Amino acid sequence: MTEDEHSRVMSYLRRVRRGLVGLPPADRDDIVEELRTHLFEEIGEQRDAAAALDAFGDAATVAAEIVERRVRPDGDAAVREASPARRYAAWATDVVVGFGPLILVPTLLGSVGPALGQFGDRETLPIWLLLAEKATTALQWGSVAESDLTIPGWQWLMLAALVAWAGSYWFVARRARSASAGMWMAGLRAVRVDGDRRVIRERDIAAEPTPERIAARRWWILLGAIPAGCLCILLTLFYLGAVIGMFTDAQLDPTSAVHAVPSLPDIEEDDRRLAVLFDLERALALDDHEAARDLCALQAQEDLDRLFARRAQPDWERPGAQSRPGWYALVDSAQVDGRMLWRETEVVIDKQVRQNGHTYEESYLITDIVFGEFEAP
Amino acid sequence: MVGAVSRGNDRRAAADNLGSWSTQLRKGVVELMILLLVRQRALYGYAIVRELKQRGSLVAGEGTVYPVLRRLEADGLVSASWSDEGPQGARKYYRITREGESFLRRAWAEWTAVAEAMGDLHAEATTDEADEGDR
Repeated sequence: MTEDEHSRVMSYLRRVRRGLVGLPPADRDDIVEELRTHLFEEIGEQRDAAAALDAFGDAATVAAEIVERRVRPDGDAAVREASPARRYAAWATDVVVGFGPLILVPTLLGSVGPALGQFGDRETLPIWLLLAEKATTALQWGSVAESDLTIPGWQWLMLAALVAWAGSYWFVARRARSASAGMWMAGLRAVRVDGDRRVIRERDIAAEPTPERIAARRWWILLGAIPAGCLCILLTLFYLGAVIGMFTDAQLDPTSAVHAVPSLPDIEEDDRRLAVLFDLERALALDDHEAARDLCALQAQEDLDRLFARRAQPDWERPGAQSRPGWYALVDSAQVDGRMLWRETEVVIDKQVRQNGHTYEESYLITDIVFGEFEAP
Repeated sequence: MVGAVSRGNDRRAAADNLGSWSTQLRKGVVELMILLLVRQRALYGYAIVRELKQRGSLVAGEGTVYPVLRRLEADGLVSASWSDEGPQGARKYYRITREGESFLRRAWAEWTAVAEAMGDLHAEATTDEADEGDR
């Protein structure tokens, strides 16, 4: 047999193997090996490869007939397709396997963050909430670039990996193979009969000895798939609610969406911080440096002087303060060389405990002032 | 001229139908043929195809034998085992099982009954034809 003939036969056998998809892998190997022996013997004895392959018949037809004879119950009776319940169970499992990580992994990381002592760190919030916050901030400011929220690189990498997994599982791996994870669990196989893709029960593929309980053994996967699926559904609803809440609520902080109803102490704390901010605004308006100093902790005194100097520049207008829970900023604007510039002064206000004689008193003080300047969108 | 072309097409169509019918008939009885062959001695796929071809093109296409062999094996009517003796690698030998023997007996009885009935029918038809010719 020439090299060319050998490669023609091997190519023919590869086509047969493709057509046998759906049969158990061991069966496929067995069939292809038997056909290979037949063709090699025939070519070795008397014929050239083209004539032998021609006499054998079209590869796809031979494979289809082998599959059909294995799955058709008797004679011309119709091929028994798997029940809708079984197929739905397989589909639902595939949804969990393919798309579940998109919900579960960010949630898990968001839970691991607090466990590692990073409770309240916005970096570990699920990326869906961070993206929603960025979108809502962009809507408010008119540009994504103006959002002060930066999503960490590892969150983007994780999202890319999860999307790649979902896409490759759902659209490539699940379709290229005769049985996805869900189908394997439900004891199903996809085969081609009469040119159509049919999903049948694995036990309906004729085999000797008959595999009596071939599928029943795999239902244990449901022990994991059902709770994971329920968790995915609940988390999806939760995130949807949180994201919708962010878009509809005036408050754009994702933590406020996660904890939909703020507690009374939280409200009081924010009110007290806002009161400090308003006092600062009034002191700045009245150019009352002393009153402003009383509002600042020691470490912020230098920043306060800089703030007074900055606010004294005559070209800058003072539209006022921007605030949302946990974040306060004084905003100025000016026209410089025909460009609109914005100047943002972010004020950090924290609870401080001061000793007064033998007693301690709590007060809210400015602990840090951060300056930023950028071109208006 | 048009009528002659039409008659030609009809004849070709009839010949094609006969070919298709013949293929279907062979496909229908190929299980029986294979069981009869492997009842005598264990045979591998290529040998079965060769036997069937030598006995008057009983096989519709070489590739059609393997699907049947696979189904017979899956149904437990034949058993199979690999042997290393072939010149081009291992051969898979098939032999009839007890269930296969039982199936073959019943199938053969069925085949004989059909063949006898067909023979009787054909004899009657040819006798009637001859009588009409005499009249």
